[in-house]
Amino acid sequence: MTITKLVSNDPEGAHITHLNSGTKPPTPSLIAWARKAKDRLVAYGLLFPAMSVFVVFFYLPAAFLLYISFFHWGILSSATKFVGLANFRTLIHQPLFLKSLETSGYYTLVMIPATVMLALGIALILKEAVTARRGGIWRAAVFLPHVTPVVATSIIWIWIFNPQFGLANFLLKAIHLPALGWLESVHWALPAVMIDTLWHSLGLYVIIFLAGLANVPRELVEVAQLDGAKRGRIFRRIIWPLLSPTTFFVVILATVNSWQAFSQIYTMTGGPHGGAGGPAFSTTTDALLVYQTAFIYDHFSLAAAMSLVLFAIILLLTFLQKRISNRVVFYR
Amino acid sequence: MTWNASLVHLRGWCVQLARSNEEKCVSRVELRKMSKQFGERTVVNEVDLVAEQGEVVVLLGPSGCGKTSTLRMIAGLESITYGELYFDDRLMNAEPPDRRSIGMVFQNYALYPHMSVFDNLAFGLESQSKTGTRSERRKSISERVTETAELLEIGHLLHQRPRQLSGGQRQRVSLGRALVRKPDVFLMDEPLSNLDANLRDRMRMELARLHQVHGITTLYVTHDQGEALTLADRIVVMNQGSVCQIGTPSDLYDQPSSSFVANFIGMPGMNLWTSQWESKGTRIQCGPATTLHTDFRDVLATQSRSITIGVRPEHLHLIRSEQIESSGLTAQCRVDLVERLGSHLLAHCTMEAEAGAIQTSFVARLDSESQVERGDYLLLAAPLHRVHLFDAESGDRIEHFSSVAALA
Amino acid sequence: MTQTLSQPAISARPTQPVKRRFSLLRHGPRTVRWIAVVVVAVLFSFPLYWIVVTAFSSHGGVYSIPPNFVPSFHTGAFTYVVTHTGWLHYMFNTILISVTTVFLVICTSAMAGYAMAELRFKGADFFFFLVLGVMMLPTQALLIPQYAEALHLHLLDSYLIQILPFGASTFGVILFRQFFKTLPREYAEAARIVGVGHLKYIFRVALPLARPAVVTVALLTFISSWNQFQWPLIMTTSHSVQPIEVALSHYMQTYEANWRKLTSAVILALSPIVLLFLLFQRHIVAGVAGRDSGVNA
Repeated sequence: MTITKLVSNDPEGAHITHLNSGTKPPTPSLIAWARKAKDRLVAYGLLFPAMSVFVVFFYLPAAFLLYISFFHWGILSSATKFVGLANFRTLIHQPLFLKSLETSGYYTLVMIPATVMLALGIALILKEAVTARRGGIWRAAVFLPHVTPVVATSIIWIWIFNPQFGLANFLLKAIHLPALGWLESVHWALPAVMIDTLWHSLGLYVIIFLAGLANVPRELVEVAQLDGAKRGRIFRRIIWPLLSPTTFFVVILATVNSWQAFSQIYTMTGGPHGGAGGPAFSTTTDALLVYQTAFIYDHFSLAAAMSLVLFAIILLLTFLQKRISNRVVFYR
Repeated sequence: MTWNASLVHLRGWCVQLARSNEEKCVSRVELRKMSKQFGERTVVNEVDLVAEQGEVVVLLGPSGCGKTSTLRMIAGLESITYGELYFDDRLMNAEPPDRRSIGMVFQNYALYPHMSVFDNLAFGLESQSKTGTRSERRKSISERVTETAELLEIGHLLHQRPRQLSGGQRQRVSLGRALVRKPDVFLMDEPLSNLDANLRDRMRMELARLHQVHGITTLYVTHDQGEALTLADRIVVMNQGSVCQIGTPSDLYDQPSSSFVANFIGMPGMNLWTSQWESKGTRIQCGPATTLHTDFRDVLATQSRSITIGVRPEHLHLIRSEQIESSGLTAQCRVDLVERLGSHLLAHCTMEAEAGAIQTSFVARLDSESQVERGDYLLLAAPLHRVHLFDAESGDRIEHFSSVAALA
Repeated sequence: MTQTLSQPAISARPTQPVKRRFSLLRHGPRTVRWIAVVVVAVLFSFPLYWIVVTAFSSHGGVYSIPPNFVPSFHTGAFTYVVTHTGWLHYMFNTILISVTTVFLVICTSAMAGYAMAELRFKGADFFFFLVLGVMMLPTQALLIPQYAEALHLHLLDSYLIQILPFGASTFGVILFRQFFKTLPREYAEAARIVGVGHLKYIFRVALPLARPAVVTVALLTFISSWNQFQWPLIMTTSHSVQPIEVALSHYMQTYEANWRKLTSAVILALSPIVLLFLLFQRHIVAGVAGRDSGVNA
């Protein structure tokens, strides 16, 4: 039996630096390359279905949006002519468009704090209950509205807000407040929609806050309690800062969703069955106006220009909020 | 089926396969300067190795020495940065794993928990056979799976899920999955390290017997030298990416090529201590406590003033002072701790060191009848041919020593 | 009284557990908080209850003041709606669309998630950001160009246009990617060694092991698909392919102010989703909130 022994000068391998010198036979690089290429093809192949959906149905339209905003474009014909910023100029001079921006802004500005406060409040109330035995039922009750289709549930809210027979006015009268016109009044149509939206969407945010609250380390709060801090102080100084990433997330989500709200507004005030756009256009939000401009009045390129503005606004809002968050949100 | 019956059965199986013109049952694995680099970091450094057909070659070394990476390169799970891999003179560098005809057993078995044992074993076979009708194929798969399962004595578990099995049973399923495709090369990555000590010993025996039956060229990775010494035809000791020594278990035991190998092999490993040497006529004095009773000036003349001496604990024995001259190496030491292990005892001692040097401690394995207590002063000796000398800096074996010793 | 060694004399009642849940709102005893919980739950459930009450009240009872809170069982309106509308057909449409979408999403997301989790290839980061980017695009702003695209692809007014754009989900891809990363890499390696291809591995090993993720993705995709309104409103005009939400919108015109019939239709549209939710509530919430949703029921 021969002894094959490799006694290198440093079995510790401490002095190896460059191995590519000297007389070392290389691996067949062509085959290796082909193999890598095949691996890459396989990966791309697996990614292709998902990516093609994203590109075709999302990125392409985004690019297309830029294109058709600058062209006067009858959607049926392929005749286009470059009109540059003409569409945007028309927009600026349209009072309804500006009003829609205002309406969307007002809607969003009210919804964000309302959502945050209510969702957080409910989460705090529910927090103990959901960890109890079979506590999921409480969470389910709050979350259930969120999974229901908005159209279906908006119908019952229309009925609830019915000025003569609806529950809302009944309750108001029961506590000696005047009945309101709700969806038929200029000032109360949008709030009615807000109430519907809050009912429908809070469930999601409550769940998000519940998760965020669960991530606040118990010990920090208990230490504060032992030190005798009052609950308000605990909340302000401990829970709220630690919750800020969650809160930020909720704010962004609420902003984007509020600005783009459509289905409930359409059902309650915007469709052919409801008042088109609300009494005196008080519920005509940006998104609703885009829809109407395109599909009811057939002004596609105008609608496209509006969409671009909407796109820009959302990106701007998100960007601004991210900027603010860097200073306000406390990340562990 | 009993072991003997299955022995006969499988021998026939392998012979039949050898005669079939599908694939040869033989495979010689050769690594030529195989290396693996991750960016700047060299994980495996120019490994040269030949595993002859039917051999069990064990890659042994501490964690991080590159043994697993080497195995994975042989399997095709890692690309070979450079160097070559041959199975029977076929260059395998670019072949994907499934075309290398290998079977692999992973450290944590990697059994699919949602499939039954049968499905786990059959999983790889479905893509193999392409001939015959669907039911013919299914029948032949079923036959092969049952056959392999019987061989490993898990035939009664075929319809259970892995989580219902014990560790040893899961291990067998893992072996079965590797064997069921009748591979040419069998790779095992620390298969026993997840088992408890008792089971490990038993499975070690079973693996050895199994190899006698199937005779497939096997490459086995472990950090446990006990497994290596039991299972291997040859051992490849690796450290930090490079091969230190390749040899049979006795080669590694009797003639370690470096101090690292010397200390790694053996339970406990070889005692090693470094000191300055000084020639004093017919003796060489290595530090105040150790004396080599021989004249090796010509051997040691080219060495630096420091050498590393190595003696295995089991080769040290007690002597009386009058026996000093007739011994090869003598050392004086004081006992710190005695471990009585029934069949023998281990005396942990310290030697007086040179001024300013660290006190050397070592272990002597003595008869259990020896009257040794803590605090005793002992005179230990070892025959010259059991004394190893290594270069103090590089750790390399000082070669001529043993040949001279053989003469003496 | 003798005291045994096993009973220390000190504790007469169990001591407070060391870990106490921190309670924030402690204005008064716990019962107040439980009352608040119940109030919240009732408030949220009430409109749904009201739907049922309205649908089954008598013809005049709907308009009574004060309104009847107690349900009666006049099924006239409901049976009328069931028998005289084409709701079954719309339901079929919706189910077809939703189920197909779920199937597609699972396939595409599993394949993409697997590729991103297991395979090493150039441009992996690029694709990841591509997926993230889709989530950032505002949906409303894209509707016009999406409509134009559908028009030119002749996909308008079809089932396909309601399915294909939703055939891949960013949420699904990311979820599967996360999950596949937790699988031990030896699973895929063992499969490679025996020559099992990627697709076979995904559908025979990875997906079955990813059952929680599959359930979550399936449920959330189904719900989201079922609840689509604006998309089919824009993209379809003929009743033959429209889902039930759009049908409801039509009913509003047909049954204008006939609240009993309207709410009956609403019940028909809502029941499948409510049923699904009640059955799988835990999975749905877990999917939305992520692993640590802070609840254990």
